[in-house]
Amino acid sequence: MSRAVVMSERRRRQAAQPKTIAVRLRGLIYLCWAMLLVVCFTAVGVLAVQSDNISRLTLIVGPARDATLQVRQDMTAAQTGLNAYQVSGDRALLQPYVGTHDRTMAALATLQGQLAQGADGTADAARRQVLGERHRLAVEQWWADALLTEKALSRGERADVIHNRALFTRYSGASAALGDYLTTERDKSQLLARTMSTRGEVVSITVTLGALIVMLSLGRRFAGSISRPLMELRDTMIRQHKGEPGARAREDQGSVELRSVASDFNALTEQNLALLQAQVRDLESHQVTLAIARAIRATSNTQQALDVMCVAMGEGLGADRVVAKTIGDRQEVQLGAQWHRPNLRPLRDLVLLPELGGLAEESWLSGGFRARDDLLAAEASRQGLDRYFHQVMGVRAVIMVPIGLDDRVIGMIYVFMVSEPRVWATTETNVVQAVAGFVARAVVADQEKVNQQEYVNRIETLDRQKSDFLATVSHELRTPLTSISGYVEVLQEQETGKLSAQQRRMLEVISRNTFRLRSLIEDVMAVSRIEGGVSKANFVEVSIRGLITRVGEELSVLAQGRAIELEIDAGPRDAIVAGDQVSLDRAVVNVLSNAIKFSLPGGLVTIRGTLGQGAHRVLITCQDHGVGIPAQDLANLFTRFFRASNATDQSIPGTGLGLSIAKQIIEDHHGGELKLTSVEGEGTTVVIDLPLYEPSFEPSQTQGAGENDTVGNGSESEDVFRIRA
Amino acid sequence: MTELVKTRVVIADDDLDILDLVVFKLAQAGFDTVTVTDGVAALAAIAAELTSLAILDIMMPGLTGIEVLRQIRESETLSDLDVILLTARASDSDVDSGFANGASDYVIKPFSPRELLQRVDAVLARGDR
Repeated sequence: MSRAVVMSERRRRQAAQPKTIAVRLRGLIYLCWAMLLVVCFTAVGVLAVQSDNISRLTLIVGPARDATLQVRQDMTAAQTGLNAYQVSGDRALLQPYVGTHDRTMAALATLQGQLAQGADGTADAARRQVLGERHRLAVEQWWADALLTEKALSRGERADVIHNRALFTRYSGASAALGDYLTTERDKSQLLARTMSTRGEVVSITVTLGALIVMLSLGRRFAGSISRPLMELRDTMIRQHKGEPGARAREDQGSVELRSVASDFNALTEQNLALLQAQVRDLESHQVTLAIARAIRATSNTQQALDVMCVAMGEGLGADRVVAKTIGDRQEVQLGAQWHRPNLRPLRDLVLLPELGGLAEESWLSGGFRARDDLLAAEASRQGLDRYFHQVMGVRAVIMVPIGLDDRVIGMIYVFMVSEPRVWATTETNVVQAVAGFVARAVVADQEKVNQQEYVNRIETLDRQKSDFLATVSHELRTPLTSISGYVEVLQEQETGKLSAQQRRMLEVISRNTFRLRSLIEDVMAVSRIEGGVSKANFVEVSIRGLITRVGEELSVLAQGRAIELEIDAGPRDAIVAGDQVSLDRAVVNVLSNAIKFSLPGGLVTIRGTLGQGAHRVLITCQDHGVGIPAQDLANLFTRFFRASNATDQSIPGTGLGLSIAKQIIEDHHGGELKLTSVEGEGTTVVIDLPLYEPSFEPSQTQGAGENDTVGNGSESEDVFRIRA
Repeated sequence: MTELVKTRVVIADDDLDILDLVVFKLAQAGFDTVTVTDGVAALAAIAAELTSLAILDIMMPGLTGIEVLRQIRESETLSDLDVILLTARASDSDVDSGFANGASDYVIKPFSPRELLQRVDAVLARGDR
């Protein structure tokens, strides 16, 4: 009973103790060898018995029987011959007897040799020996007597025939006994040979089959212990691969190696799962951060940003309460916001929340934060701040992150868990830190916006003041100028009495300088207007033909006054540009009036409109043959208030603003180009190059086109007209 | 002394020097001139007697020239009166708003007295037609 228990215990331990593949393979091979040996030995055993039997049959029993028969044959022949001789006395009849003695003796010796060879200690062999001995004695006794008888007879004496015959009878009995025994033994051996060969086949086949069955079953068990667990392992891998991350391999089956592989695989799976979870957590945190960042970016001021942030953070992190506040330079709370779960009450006064004092600064400067998983824990509650949170506010876990800007703290974010402690993950504190950065940026953006708005307001106010100032100055300057020029004119026209030549000259000086002052005021006003910008929205279609005609007519008085011949070619009818008509007029007036002013009396000034560059541009060319501009002055020509040296030398009136205004109008506001070429003493050519009107400008109205018809109508050549002094 | 019935012109400007200048020029040309220095007085002067022409400065205390012009055009009896606006405001919008309110002409300061007289004659000649 107890032994059986021990046995079964051992078997169970063996079953529980896994074997390596090598051990299993070795066992299988040893078993194969053993089976092979069993089959081999069985076959060899059967063959050995068979061979022994056959060799006895063929080497001993068969030849011994043959020898016995031979002896009998010879003895019978000898006895017959002797008998016949004895009876007849005829020596011829003794013939069968002659020579048989030697043959008999030889055969007897052979037989004796066979029998001696077969003496192997068995009962059969002993019996054979006894019978053989008896047979030999009978043969020798007969022959002894036969020899005496034959001698006696040959001497003609009488012989005892009776005795001889008795001896022969004795021999016959011994021979028959031996022969019968040998025959029986032969038959027995033959039967044994047959039986043995049948049995040998049966045993061989049985043993072979048994060995086969044992090997097959062991092979199957071996295969089962390796291939099934392998397949299961593979299935597990496939399941994992197909999205079942929790699939585990069985570690309790198969060989040691397979169990080890399964265990390693499971360890890898665990690691993978942990990584995956970490990744998911990271991703979630990232999404929370992004969502908060988006929400903050969508807000327009810091208060909104704080409000939105508290809600998003609370929901995103699954916190109980989130509070944020910004603090001023004197640590006063500026803005505050809070979010809490519906079952909690809002905090009444955000001022009560501790600032961390200098700790916040330090924390911010070291890129830090303060996170407490459980404020009840012994080491945490020793600190005053943690005690405050726990005892006064009833908080269990907290993250505090300063909102920093440059090197100072401008606010704080608090994330609270009220009833339960919480192990804050790094990803969670990262979220709060990142969000603090976003809030800081929002604060900066808000401040910048406020600053910018203030700046814009200030600029706008200044601009308005400047415009008002200019309008006022212009008005205030024009009014006294009106009186001056008006009274001078009245005086010059001698409506109040005759003037002396000297008085006239003096009045002339006053008049000229009044005009100059007036031009200066107008130019300054023009500059101010242009600086204010020309809005493209107010662009209209401006006919170049109308423009040139208008300006030509306006300046014809000036030309006449200076005895200048003015030649005007208003250009093609369809030359239209999109622009601000007043500005364009001003630009062309400035250019043409310069040409007139700098021409010598009697000189010719031409202004001409033409199409250029494959009819995509229109050119207004103004040419004079006046004083020209010194080469060294050309570079500064478009600088405000710059006047060419020869102009100042010759006291030609001007403000130095005209060309710069014209250039600004043409190039900055109308996408055109103003080019000037001049040779001192020969004259100046100014080309205004403007893009032709393209329908995409969509001007609001057409203006100035009607003026076309004021200047001739008919062929192009008729449009050229001259205003002569 | 029998006098010809002179054409009555009301001149309104808060600058007395300019007022004198215009009066001098127009009186010389034979107009009967009435001068006022603000918008309200201008309206009163125009309404007081049969007036052919009003020369109004735009920037005046009380009512501006434009407002006086508007009231003239809205009035039943005075709506036909010729009005020349006189101003130092030379921007286009001012000119446009002057014409839009029914000004007969527009003279920008500083102006030539001779030119003003020409314009007055032109306006009155047009009115006569």
